[in-house]
Amino acid sequence: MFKNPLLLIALTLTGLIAIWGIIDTAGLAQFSSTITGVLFTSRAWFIMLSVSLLLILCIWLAISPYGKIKLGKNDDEPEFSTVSWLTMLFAAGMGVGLLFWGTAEPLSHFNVIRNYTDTFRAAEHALFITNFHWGLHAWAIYAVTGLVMAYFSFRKGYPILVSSPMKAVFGQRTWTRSVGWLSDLLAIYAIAIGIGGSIAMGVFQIQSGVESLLGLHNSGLWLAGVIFAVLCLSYILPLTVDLSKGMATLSNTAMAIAGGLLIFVLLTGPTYYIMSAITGSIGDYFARVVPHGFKTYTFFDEKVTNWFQSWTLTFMVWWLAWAPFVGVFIARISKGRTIREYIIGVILVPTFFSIFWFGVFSSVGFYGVLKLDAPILEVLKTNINDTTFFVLRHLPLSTLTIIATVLAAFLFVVTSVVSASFVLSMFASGGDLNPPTRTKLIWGAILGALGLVMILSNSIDAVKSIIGLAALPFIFIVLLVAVCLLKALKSEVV
Amino acid sequence: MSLKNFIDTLLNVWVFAFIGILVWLYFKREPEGNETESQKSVGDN
Repeated sequence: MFKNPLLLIALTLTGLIAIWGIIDTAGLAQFSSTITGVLFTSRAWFIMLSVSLLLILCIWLAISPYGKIKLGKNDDEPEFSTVSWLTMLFAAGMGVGLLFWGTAEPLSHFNVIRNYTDTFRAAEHALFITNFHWGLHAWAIYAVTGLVMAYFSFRKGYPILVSSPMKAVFGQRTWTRSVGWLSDLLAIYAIAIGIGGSIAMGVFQIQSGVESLLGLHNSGLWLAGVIFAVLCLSYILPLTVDLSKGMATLSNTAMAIAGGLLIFVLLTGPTYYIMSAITGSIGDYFARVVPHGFKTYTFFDEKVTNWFQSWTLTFMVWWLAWAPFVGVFIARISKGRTIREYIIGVILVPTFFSIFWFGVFSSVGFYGVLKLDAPILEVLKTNINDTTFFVLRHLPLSTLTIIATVLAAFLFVVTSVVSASFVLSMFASGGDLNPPTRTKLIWGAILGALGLVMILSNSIDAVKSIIGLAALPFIFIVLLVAVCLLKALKSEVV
Repeated sequence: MSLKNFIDTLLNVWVFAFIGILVWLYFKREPEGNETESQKSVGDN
């Protein structure tokens, strides 16, 4: 391990961030917020242009003759059936984020937008913006990262690393080695901080659920600490033994619970209202999604630009932080598929699922606010972590659904940390598909420490800005490897 | 020029330079033999 400088530097860098955050949480949060504020102001246009171009690239690849190229040998067949493959894609995209933001995000947008337009238009636009954040653009970032990894790994025979495309296309030169090394480091850094954020979000969500079940109010950091300790204990065992099948089962269980919850809320909530909202949002989304990708709110007031930075830009860099992690996962399950199949599966299917998910959870929230005058917006202001549970408490069998949500959040976080520890160890060991247990455990500890930092910040906004700081440099890497892919495709005979 | 403007200019000049490098890399002709024999497109087999 000590002969590997990338691993040592990556561990030192992420470890130092964790120590800084534990010693001076407010200082790190303030620093991150200031830096991301400056970067977001100067580079908002570049972030939005980049993610829009990634989406256009995906669409072009799918419809171009390159769409016929296989991710593997020409006679390779997909390892998984299409249904299993699509289910696994759901699992990659369906994280604790959807459980957390299902109702909270659309209502947060509504709270801002209603100051500028009619209430009904504000609700429609709030749902559109939420779908925009979780839809085609998000999945295009994942799709391009995963496509590059799958293409250069399965078709060109390179290790699954972010640096591989540069070495494959431009050869083993000083600049490809150094930029490649830096890219692997930035990927590791982005994944580690991104997963730390997910741990914090999961703990906040579980904490609110437990408070709701036990009738506690503002339990503070002690309950978060207990939940965090249980989480850490739960992912140590899977890191020490090969539990790949067991982890798949846990991930599928979390998916099944989330799916059950979705159907339950659809059926026990105002079903006609939910289905009408979903139908409307599908048309609205596909009519406006591509032009909206270029929107930067330049001429709006400071309140709107702040909202744009803290939501749209933050989500886009959040997806960038997760891109190397989700990209590796998607690449590994997509061997033998054509580029066309891959892109249609990766960007379209999860987008429809997200539209359905947010359609259900936001409509229940909007129904409460607009039809029943329920105080959900107050909950949003005082304790955003409780929004989902507030909605569930107003539906039948609330104890059962809250337990299910807590369990699903717990399983999502555990499976994410175990998978991320594996990917981080693999990246840091030059693409070794069987990284040493000791390395995985060290990464598990670092991820736990980063999660603790974000829990100590006790603020979802602080979590967002810390992730932004880690993920922003990765946008350059995604664009660079996309160029490598385009250059490599030129030499393909199609 | 205020410090804020100066930083903004620097950050954006970096982006312009990066875009320029990407375009140059895309059109740059690569010498034959960048790929080793074992790493040539396995789809060609």
